[in-house]
Amino acid sequence: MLGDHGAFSELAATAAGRMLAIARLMLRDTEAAEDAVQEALVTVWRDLPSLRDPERFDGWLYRILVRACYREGRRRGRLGRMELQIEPIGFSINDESGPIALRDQLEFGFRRLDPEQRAIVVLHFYAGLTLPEVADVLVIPLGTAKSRLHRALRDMRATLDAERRELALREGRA
Amino acid sequence: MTRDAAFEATVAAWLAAQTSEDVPAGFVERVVAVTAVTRRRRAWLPSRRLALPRIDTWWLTRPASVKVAIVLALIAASILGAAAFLPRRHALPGSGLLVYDNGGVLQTFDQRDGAAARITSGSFDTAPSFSPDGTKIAFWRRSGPGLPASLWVMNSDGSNQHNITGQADLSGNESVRAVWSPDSAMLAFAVGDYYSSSHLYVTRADGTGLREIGADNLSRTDPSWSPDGSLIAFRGHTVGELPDEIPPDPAIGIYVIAPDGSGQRRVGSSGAGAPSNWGAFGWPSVGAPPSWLPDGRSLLYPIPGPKRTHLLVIGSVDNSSETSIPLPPNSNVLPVVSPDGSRVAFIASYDRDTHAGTLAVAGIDGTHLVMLRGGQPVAGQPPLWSPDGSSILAYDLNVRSILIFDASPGHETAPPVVISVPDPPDINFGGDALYDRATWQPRP
Repeated sequence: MLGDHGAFSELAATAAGRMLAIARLMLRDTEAAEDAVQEALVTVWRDLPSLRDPERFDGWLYRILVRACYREGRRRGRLGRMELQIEPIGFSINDESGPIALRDQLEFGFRRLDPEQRAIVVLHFYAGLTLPEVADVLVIPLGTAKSRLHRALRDMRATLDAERRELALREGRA
Repeated sequence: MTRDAAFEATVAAWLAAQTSEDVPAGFVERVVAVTAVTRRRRAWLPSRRLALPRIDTWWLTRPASVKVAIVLALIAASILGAAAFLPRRHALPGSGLLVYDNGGVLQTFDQRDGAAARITSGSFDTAPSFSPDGTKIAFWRRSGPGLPASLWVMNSDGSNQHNITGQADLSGNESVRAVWSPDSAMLAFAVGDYYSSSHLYVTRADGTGLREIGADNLSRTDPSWSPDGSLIAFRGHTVGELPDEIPPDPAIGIYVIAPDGSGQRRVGSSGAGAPSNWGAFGWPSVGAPPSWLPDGRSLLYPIPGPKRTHLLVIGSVDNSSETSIPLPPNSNVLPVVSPDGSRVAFIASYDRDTHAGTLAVAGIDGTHLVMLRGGQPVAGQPPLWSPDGSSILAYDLNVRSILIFDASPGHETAPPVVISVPDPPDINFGGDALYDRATWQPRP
């Protein structure tokens, strides 16, 4: 268990990169992400002595981070809702996620998700957590995690399909 | 690769391309600097392990025939005992309608004939709340996924549905029911982040007079009208602070305020100065409105006790007394007074990690303590008394089954009536917030 600032500095240096990446995805705002991660790490420092089971550290850390992101999003937005600033972070033209139009549609679809859906998508597809692990992190039943992920993907794909239909319609008119 | 798998791979690749794990220069150092002035929690000390029971050598030395005879005798005794004491299934009281959220659609359940009927057609309706006169139901509605929530009112048969809060975005606490004034003329509800920044609103039931009450730096949740309608009790803490912050937020506690926003004052010593208010008031999902006693002069609520227990106390609104109900030391939370004021239902042995505990009922003086459902766990949600006090409604662990227990004295061991309810689609109830899914119709 970490007992001093030296050890905590090492932990923070190790975990900060991944935490920032997750927070940036959830909040879509660099400054907000840094604030959320800072808050989360301070909480980790404060509460680490009370962590009962060190083997559950990773899940505990993700839980604190997600809640910090919720709070930061709410703090910067209206009551109870994340207001998003469109700010592609680390965006690469040559990435493997497909053509620019597809990426824009994914961005648009992702922005429409509520914070809980976004947390599930990021934890599952970016952080690589299994759905039982995601359910544990978010303190929700596994069935709820599955249905939320399903709905999130359905909504994202619906956005894509709608964009494609509109594009096809425009091309047809042209 | 299936279409689903291909799309999931596309999403994963897109996410990976959208971020990086770079850490800005000086970021970690800044965080560590903040921790230098942040007090840590005390280390958790594991309780002494229980010694395993010693295996009695008497049993091992008996002949096989004796062992078989003893086992058969025990099985026979168990069967006979079970038959003799088999509890009867609880017959629902004939006190009118139960309205519940059945997957985002509000539905009635007539307790007299078991008939069920849908009374809303939307997919995002939840947290129904019957008016005290039994004629109206308030509920939260979203018009679509991700869209703002608004408060609606309808007749008990589902007719005359209308939005009473207009276009105001009242999202954030829509899994927690709005509460009616005793004369059924007004509603109070909390809006915002349940855990850090929640605001208390009142409105007339006809949709006029919507306003926030209380303007100081207090986060307000879980309102509860006094029986005479002159006061609203609520739980409060400093805006931005989580209720389980250590050191404790000195503002955490029970308050009362007049419906016009005047006369706010604190009730009792709840939480203030406590060495640890760990999970005592609302983080996460241990929150419940302070429960008024029928005389309107006192409130029932939990306060932190020694060794992570919680005491149930009755505090007078004029702060002249605060008395704990004598119950065995336990984590007793979410207390609710019965309609006649003679008993209290609560969640005992509350476990913060699983948000579960045991549904218990006792006399208001602490006598006749009974654990319902044989001590099987239920969700950490406030119990709901039926208007005639004969039943108590609780929820299964995942809040997907409504459990209705017979609370009549002597019958508390009967199995509950179980109503399964799927999650509503796209209702944002925050993962671990309270989730009020049902309401009883008061007797006419």
